[in-house]
Amino acid sequence: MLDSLARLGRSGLGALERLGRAHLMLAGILQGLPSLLVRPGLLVAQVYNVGVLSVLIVAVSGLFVGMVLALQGYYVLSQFGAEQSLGVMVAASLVRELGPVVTALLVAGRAGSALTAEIGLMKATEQLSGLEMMAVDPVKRILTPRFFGGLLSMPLLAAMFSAVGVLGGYFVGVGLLGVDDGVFWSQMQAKIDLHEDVYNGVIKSVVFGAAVTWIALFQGYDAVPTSEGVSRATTRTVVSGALAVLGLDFVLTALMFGD
Amino acid sequence: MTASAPTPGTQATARRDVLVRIRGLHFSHRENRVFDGVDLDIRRGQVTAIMGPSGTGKTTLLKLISAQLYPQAGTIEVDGQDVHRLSRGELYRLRTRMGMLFQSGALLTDLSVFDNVAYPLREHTRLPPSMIRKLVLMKLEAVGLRGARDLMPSELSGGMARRVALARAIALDPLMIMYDEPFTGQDPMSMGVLVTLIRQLNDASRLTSIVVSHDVKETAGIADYLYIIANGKVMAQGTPDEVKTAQSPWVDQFMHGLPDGPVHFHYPAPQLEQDFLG
Amino acid sequence: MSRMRTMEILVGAFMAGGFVALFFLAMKVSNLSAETIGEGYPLAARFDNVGSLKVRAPVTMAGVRIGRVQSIRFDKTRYEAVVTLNIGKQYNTIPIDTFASIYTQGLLGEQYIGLSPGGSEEFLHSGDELTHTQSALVLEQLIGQYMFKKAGEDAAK
Repeated sequence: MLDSLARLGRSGLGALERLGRAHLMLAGILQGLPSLLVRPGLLVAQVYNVGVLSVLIVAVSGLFVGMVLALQGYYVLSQFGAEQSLGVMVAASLVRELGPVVTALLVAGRAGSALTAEIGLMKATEQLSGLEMMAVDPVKRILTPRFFGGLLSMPLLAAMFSAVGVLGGYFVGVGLLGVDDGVFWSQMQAKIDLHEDVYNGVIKSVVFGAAVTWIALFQGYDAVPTSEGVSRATTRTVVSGALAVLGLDFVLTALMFGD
Repeated sequence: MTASAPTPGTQATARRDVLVRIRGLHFSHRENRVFDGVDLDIRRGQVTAIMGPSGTGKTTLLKLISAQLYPQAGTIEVDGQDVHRLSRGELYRLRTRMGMLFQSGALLTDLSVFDNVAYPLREHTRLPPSMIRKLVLMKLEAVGLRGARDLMPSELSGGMARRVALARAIALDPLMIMYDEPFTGQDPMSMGVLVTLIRQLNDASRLTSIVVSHDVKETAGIADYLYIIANGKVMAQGTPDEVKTAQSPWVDQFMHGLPDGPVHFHYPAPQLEQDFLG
Repeated sequence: MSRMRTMEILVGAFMAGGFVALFFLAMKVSNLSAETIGEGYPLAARFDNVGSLKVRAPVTMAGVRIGRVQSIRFDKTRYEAVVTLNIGKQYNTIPIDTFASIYTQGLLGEQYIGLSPGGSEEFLHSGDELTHTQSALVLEQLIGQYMFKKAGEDAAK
């Protein structure tokens, strides 16, 4: 009985410790920004790793999501005689929610796990210690470029997802289901607000980008330096990253789209 | 010879000769008492070996000297500076004068051999690329791998990777080099190469070398001074000859690799009769 | 170093693609193009009840959007809602006896302000107030009125 309590207390303290370490790591990452701006090549490489390499999965997913939205939306809206609002429905769903959220989940899976594995492996093969010994701060050199690479890539990827999704919705709605071309776009343009919808969607994706990248980097940095430890860390990145995105989405949606 | 700190009388002259001075070191990791009051002197220009059974925290000692870890008590001075009291900037400056060779080499896997050796030069100096190129090739030549400059770390054998890491460690012409288990897992030929390199580098560049190892034969062969650490304390120290002929049975068992002695062969177990006849 | 160049080119393409997507969303999907980015001048209007009118709701005249609701305040002494309208500078021929009413888009849509021009030859300027206003229709009051009237009719039979 007392043992279980003690264990609970220990794991609670351990969790607090981890939280503290994660914040210290983030502080170190942010302090590295000035040095990063002097060496943009590092940032470029990371935008490539996180952004460019995720374009394919994001674009294909966006296309299919947009098409399914149009399909499902049409069937529901036609029951109320409101097919003309299909454009609005597809665009609003994508720009406000699905674009930022699904992109973040995809990136957490693809790029997040890759980041964690890379950092974890560097830790396990003592490359991070080696950098420390060469008087190079591994946080500023390795983690900072990756953090800002993720932060920068996410809103761009989310925008691509939404844009491709709207086009997919257009092809299905107007091309296949016979919604009027002009009405599709004009209704959408009337109802989708630049500030309320597009900007808020971008803000969401930036927040998700920060969260997912932070989690991915921390799991790698804090991993147990064995192959098993790294593998467990990558799993945690995907799971915690997904949960964080969904939780933050709820909070942000309530703040942005509530009254 | 048993553990003892240098006598007060010799301290004045010894000060300048000693590059790394460790006094009263206490370090624990979780509940494990790694160092329980350790005093060490590493003299300039010498190859000092730190030996002991596996798991006695020899790598930890190197991390303590380079201030990657902080002790619970005690001081470590490198070139007169207390490493654990330095500011971030001062510590980094000090580290550029310390080279370290990790057990696995710890080369950056996404850079070529050339770029790995050039890394510290590019980070810490503003030398022009032509100058850096010459320096890198010189360091690679010193370890015999100038021709391997364009290979990637994944294409190197273990021994070659360690030599490249050594070239990188001496890139900034440091005061001292620390070798973490350099002989582990090497075939006799690469072992011979490394042993020669360590000694040559030390003498040619008037370096101070600290070799951490449990390989008695090779280490004792090149060391000028030995420390044997076990159970968190210095069990023996002296020149290789002094230590080999020590009176302690424990040191005897360690140095000669005897299977049984103060460190028992049998892990504590119930009586033989109990297990087989009981 | 050519590997680096390929990478840089791809990253550049990626960022360009991202901005194109954002631009597409801004221009083709949202109401940016319909939005008048020009300067506006403020007009005030007081209502007994603004219903569910929100800031940034449209202000229309003859069905054409000429401005937006800038702010909605509560007057503590006269117990009225004071709405500030932001009208596009080019729409400077609004007569001073114009009616401002709160309408609802469709049956249950969002509320907006519709202006019906009066006959005066004097026009409103920046900071002036629209004196003729009609408050929003509250559904409950309508139903109550209808039921009251119906009850009256039944009683008279």
